Amino acid sequence: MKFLTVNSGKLVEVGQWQRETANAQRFSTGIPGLDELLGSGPGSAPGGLTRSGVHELLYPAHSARPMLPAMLLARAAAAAPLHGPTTDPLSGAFLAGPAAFAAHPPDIAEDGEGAGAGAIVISDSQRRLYPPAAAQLGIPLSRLYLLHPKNREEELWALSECLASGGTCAVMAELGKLSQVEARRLQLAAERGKSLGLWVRPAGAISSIYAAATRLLVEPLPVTTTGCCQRWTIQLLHGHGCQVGKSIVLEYNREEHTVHSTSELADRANTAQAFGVRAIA
Amino acid sequence: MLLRTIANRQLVVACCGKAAQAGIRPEMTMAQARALSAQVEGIDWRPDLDQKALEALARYLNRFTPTVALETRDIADFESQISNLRFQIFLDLTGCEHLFGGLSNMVHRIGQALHSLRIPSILGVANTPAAAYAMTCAPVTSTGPLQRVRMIIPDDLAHPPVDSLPLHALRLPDEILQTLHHLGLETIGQLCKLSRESLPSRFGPILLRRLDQLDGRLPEPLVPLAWTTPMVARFDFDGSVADPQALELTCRDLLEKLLLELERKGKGIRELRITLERVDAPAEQLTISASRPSRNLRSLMGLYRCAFDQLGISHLKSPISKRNYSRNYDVGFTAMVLEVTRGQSLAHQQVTLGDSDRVQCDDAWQNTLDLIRTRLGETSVAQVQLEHSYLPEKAFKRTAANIPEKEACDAELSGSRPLVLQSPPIELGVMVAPSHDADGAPLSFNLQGTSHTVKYAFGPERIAGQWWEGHNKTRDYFDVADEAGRRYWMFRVQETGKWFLHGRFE
Repeated sequence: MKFLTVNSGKLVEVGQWQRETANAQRFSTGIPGLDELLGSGPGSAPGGLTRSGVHELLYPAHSARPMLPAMLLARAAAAAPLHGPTTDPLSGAFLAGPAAFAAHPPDIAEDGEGAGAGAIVISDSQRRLYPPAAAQLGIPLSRLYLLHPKNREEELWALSECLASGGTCAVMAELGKLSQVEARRLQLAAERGKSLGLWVRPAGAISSIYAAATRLLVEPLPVTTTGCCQRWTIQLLHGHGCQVGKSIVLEYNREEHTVHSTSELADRANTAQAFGVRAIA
Repeated sequence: MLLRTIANRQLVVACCGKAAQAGIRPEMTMAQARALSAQVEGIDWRPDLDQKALEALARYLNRFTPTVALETRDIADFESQISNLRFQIFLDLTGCEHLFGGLSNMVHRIGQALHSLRIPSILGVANTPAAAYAMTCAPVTSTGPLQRVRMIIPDDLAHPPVDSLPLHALRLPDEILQTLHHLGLETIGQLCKLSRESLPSRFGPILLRRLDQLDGRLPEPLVPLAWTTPMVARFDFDGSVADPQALELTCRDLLEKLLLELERKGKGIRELRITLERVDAPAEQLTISASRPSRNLRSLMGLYRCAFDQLGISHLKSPISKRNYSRNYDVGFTAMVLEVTRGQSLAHQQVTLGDSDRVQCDDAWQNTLDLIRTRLGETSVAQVQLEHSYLPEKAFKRTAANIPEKEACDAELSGSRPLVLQSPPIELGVMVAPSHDADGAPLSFNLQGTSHTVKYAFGPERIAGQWWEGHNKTRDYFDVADEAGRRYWMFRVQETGKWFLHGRFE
C-alpha cells in the first residue's frame, strides 16, 4: 500500500520508509517448523528469512547436497510479497499435489497486490539442474534464469550483479571456499539489491569463512518405514535472534509433493566448534 | 529438397538441380521423391526465412533505385488466393536510367548483380508493374550470357507483347483461372478478344481490373520498403587518444546526442555498434545489445564499460606497456563512431499506481541481464522451456533468456523427477531381486566404488524410446533410496539389461 500526499503541487509518496523497513523484515519460508526455528522462540512471532541477505545451507562431506530444501526456500522468496512480510504464513502442506503443478504454475507475480516479483536465478555452471523437477516443486519457469559461467571469477561477478540489481527475488548457487572479501562482497550486494542469496556449501573448513545472516546444516535422514518421504534434519548453526543450535526434521512426500516439518528442539552444543566455522562481523 | 507438412504428408516445395535431374518435382510426396532418389535429403521449409531473405535482397537492390517494393497494394489483398505467385520484387526505374547509361545497361547491371549472388531470377521490364510481371512469365526462347538470370526487355515498353502469355501472368485467383481454363481460354490475347462489358458479370471485377492494370488504364501503386536513415554519431579526436576515461566521456556525449534523436522518433536502442578508428591499424568494434529498446543512458553506459573491458585496452594507458605492438605502432584511436544498428519503437508504458515497484524490479533485472550477456556472452544466461517428450533428457530445452512472446508449452509433468540430472547417465553394477521375467527391483548397487544397499525402490516407470528419432530402447526407471536416505533415479534398459544412474534427488 502506498501513501501519497501533495507537496508544493507535486504528488509525493510518503511510504518509502515503510517499504525499506519492510524489505529488511523476514518473510515466511512456508515451513512452520523452520519459521519457528528462525524465530525468537516458542510463543513469539514466527520468524523467517531476511530478504536482504545471504543464507547458507551446509551439508556434511559425502552427503547429498540439499538442493530440494534450497529450492523450497527460493520458491518461498519468489512468492513473498514485495512490501513487508506475509501476514498469513503458508501452512506446512503448502505444496499441493502434482495436479496443481502444470508446466507453468500460476504466475506468482500475477496473484494480485502484495504478490512477489523478481527473477529467480540459479547458477548452474555444470548444467546439472533438471528444470522440469524445479517446475514440479512450484518454481515458475517464466521467472527462472540459469547462469552458465565459465569459471569461478565469472560466477562470483554474475552472482554479485544479480544480487545488487534489485530485480531478483532469489539467487541460488553452489559455492565452495570463499575469501573474506568475496563473502563480504556478496553479502553487501544482497543488502544493496534487497535480494535473497542462497548458497549451498559443504560444511567444514572449506566454508569456515562466511558472511551469511543464517547458516543451516542439512543432513539427510534414513527414509521412513513406508519409504515415500525424503527426510532431512535441519539445524540452525548461525542466525541473529534465532534459536541457534536447535533443529527440526523436514519431510518431503514424493507421492503427494507435500512438505511437513517436525520440531526437534534438541540443543546440540559445540556444533559450531565441530565444524570450525568463523564468522565475519 | 524443401519439405512442408500438410495433414501428416510431407510434400516437396522446391528441390535443387540434382534432385530435379532425378525427376523430383514440387508437390511430390517425400516418399515418391525418395523412391526416385534414395540419397536426397529433405529440410523443413521455412517461409519466414524466405521472406526475410527476399526483403534482404530487396534492400540490396535499393542501390539501383530508391523505390523497391515486395508487393503492390492490390496484390496484398489477393495473395492468399493465388497459388502460383512467385517471389517478386518490383523496382521503379523511372528517373534512374541515366545514372547507368540507359535502361538496357541498367537492367544488365541488375542482372549481373543477381547473377553474382547466384540467385536464379527473371527480369521483366515494362511500363506498368502488371505488364512487367507478365513479361517474366514469357516462355524461354534463348539463354543469355548470364546463366542464372533471364532478362526480357521489350522493344516497345508501352505495348509489350503479352497476347501470347499464359493467363496466370495476370495474377488471377485460382478459381477464376480454373473457370477460364474450363472455357478453353489459355492466353491473354484470347481473353482480350472477349467483350469487356461481359467480364465483370461472369468473373467478378478482378479480371477486368487486371486487364486495365496491364495496359495502364488503372494504376497499381507499389508498396515500397521503408527506408530508415541510419543513426550515426561521430567524433574525431585531435590526435590519438588511448585513455579509457576520455573514450568513455566521448561515448557518453555521442550517446546523449543519439538518445535525443531517438526520443524525437519515439525509438529505443536494441543494438549499438561502437567503432574506434585508428590511423594505421584495423578499427576496434564493440557491439552492445539490449533485450528491450532502451534510452537509459546509465544502463547503456554500463553495457559500454562491460564491452570495453573485454577489449583489454586498459593496458594502453601506459605507453610502456604496449607489449603487443611495435614501437612505431600508434595504439591510440583517432575517432569514435556510434551507430544504432537496430532500433525499436519504445512505447510509453502506463504504470498503474500499485505496480510501479514491479515495473522497476523488471527494468532492473532486464538491465542486469543485458550486462551479464555483454560481459559473459549470449549463452551465459538461459531460460527453460518444457518440451513434449517422454525422454527425460529431451523434456526441456534451454533458450536464450528473455525471448519476448515465448510460446507457452503445455507439456504435462508426469512422475517424480530428480533435481539433478546425470548427463550422460553413468552405468551401474546392480544386484536385483530374482524374478521370472528378469525385471526385478534393485537390491543394491555400486556407484563410484561405493556400495549402496537399497532400502526402498519405487517403480518401474516404463519410458519407451522415441524410435522415430533412433532411440528405440525402453527404460524402466526406479526411484531408489539407500540406507543413508539418499535418493537416486536409475533405469534399466529392457533390451540389454544394463543399469544406469540418471539423476539424484538432492
